[in-house]
Amino acid sequence: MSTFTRKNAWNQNGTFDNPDLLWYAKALQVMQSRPISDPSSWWFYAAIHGEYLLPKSVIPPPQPHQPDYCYLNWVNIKYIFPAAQLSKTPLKKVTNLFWDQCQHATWYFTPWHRGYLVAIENILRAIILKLGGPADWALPYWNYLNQSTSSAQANIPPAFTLQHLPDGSANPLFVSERYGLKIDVGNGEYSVHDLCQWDTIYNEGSTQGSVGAGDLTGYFYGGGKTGFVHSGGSETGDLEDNPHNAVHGMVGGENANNQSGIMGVPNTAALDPVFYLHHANIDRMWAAWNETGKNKNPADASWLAGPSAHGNPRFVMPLDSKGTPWYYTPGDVLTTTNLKYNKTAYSYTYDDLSLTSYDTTPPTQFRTNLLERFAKLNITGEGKDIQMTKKKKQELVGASTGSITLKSRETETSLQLNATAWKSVSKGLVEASFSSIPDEVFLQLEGVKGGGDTNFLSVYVNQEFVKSVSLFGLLSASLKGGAHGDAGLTFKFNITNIIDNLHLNGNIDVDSLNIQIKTKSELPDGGGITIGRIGVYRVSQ
Amino acid sequence: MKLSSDKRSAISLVIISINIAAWVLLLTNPGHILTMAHCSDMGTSPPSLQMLLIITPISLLLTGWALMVIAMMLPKLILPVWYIYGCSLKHHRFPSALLFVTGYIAVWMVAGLFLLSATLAVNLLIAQSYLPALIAGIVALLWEFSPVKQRCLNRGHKHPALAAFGWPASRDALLFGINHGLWCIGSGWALMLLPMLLPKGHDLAMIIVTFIMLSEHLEHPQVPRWHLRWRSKLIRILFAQTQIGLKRAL
Repeated sequence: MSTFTRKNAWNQNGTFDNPDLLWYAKALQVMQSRPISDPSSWWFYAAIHGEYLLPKSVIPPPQPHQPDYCYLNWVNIKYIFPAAQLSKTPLKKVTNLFWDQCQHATWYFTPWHRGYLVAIENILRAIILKLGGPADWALPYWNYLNQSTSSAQANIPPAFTLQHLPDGSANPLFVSERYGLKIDVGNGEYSVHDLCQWDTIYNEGSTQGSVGAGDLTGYFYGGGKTGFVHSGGSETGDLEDNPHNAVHGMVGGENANNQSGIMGVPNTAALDPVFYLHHANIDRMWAAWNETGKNKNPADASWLAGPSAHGNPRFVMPLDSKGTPWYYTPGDVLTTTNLKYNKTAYSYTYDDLSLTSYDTTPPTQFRTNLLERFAKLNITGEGKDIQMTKKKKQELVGASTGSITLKSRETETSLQLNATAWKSVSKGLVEASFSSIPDEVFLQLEGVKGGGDTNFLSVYVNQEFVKSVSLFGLLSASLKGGAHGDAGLTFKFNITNIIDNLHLNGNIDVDSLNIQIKTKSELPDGGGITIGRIGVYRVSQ
Repeated sequence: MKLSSDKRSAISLVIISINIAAWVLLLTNPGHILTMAHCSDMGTSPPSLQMLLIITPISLLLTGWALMVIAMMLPKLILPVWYIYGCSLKHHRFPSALLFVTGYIAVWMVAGLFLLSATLAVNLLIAQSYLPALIAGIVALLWEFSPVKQRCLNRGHKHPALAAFGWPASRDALLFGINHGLWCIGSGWALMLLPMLLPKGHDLAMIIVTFIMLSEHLEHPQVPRWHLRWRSKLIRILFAQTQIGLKRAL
């Protein structure tokens, strides 16, 4: 059994001299010539991730004083050409089985996408073989974080910007509704990084790791545990948050009319061919996190069995034009070697499994390493053996007094802390010792609704920058008739370091914690983004 | 923020305990508090309204109805109560949860007045007939697969942002309960009517309806449209969890 190697799309300078890209484009032409009713067509595969096609009314018609998102309806997307025959959608039982499966803001994010890539890779390879291409073809990956060529790889590979293939035919890798061509790599505001690779825990409770070890979002590397129902708040893991979401937002970009590019919205993203190269990179990072970083995936039976453990539909991909289903679980795709694909063992690897490409040293500015924290709080002693408890307790200690509407690029508000609840946090900081670990403090934006998925929010506490987040998925989570139940998105930020600093400087005002929220780009005319509530929580060991 | 697993388990345990107690009362029917049982005990000829109200006074009717709501609906409140506990200040947690449950049951009690009146009216007109239940069953089936019902179910998933401080926190919890109850009535009124109209087999019908309502409540929100959906999620969950449990044990 051979092992396929997924290689860097920037080989041969990311042009069509790179055979992986050339054959990808040629196979795409074949997939795109098939109608959407064919389960092996490009359009069908994109709809597996998500779609705005069924029913037609899912995006409401333009309302007065509201932004118009009808341009995202698939019938209005220019990249989809007539061969797709959008009016002839597959049978309901087929769309019910396969479409709209993408797993976001859940701990199933990584395994679902791994299976998705394996399935389309096999369909593409079969086409490439028929076209006379290499039998060992594998999906290339785009590592925008790669620093080996002075950040040049932060640009989209040039093959995606050309209108024609070398033979003069139309280049399917070129997407007119893709408005971002470069990733802003860095650790500052609105930037993409790989700090997540320093996490050591997949999800809360999965590993009893060192105290405070890497948790940028509060949901660790792989996202929050998803149970019977997945509503009332998103639980996005660090890998999914950044780089995944951020890259979607940046590549999608916005045009002059504030319209998002298709890569920037989950229900249109998989139409863009660069989607699969981006996800190959995310998959590569997960594989490196396991193999190079020696980090473990959850051993929880509910994760290994997949959503069916909670009565939800199984992961399923069509193998061919007949729609032969391949059902799989996270347990089937734990590793890239001998993963269970359609009752056979399937192996692939990456030509680069470095743990990180950009953040080559463990972060200190975000990661609340306990020893560093204790040193800052002037506590000395030996704390190496302290282990984090699997069961943390959380408690609301402060909140905004109402909802907040973002109408411009900068909004300022203040939060009130409850004096009694905050006393526990203060006491913990004053009495901190190796036997009494002080609380961690999190800020949470709850019920964030609106549109403009390619925009970013930046959060500041008392004028100190905390973090930027991509709004990827905001529109779908906000649609009243949508499948997300109008819950909006929830964003969690670890502000422990900032609170520690405020405590040390004696600057905590319980009546007014200043919060500033900025957006990367202008908000669309006639409508903004609303935040249901901002909450401050203490999390105790 | 997600509530700690210990707290979630404790809340579930309390709610399920109350729920079991309600079911025991309903099924054993001490003191004949269950109104539907009275209706089926009456002869074949339609009774007068006066006779009906003597046998089943309003207070008893409402007590039976309240018990039915608690037995059939309480498990559906576990997730919203987790949510309230998770996003409330510690001293607001229990009062807010109580207000939420009170608001929820209050709207069901109002709905009960209409549904009980309909049941009484049917008993006045055609006692001991399966025809009203059959008609209610057809209506329930049509409602079950309608986009309106799906919209109600979707809204039932909505967990609004709650005020954290003072009386607005209590107000929001109560309003959340009322809203949640209204969407729940919107999705479940036809199913609730069905067992009440049955001359016999009331208990079994209540159990089946509870199963269906819990299953549909556990489903993810869906795009509202006419759609034939089998409400089997609870069976799927029980089956999968048993499998996992067995694997772990072996």
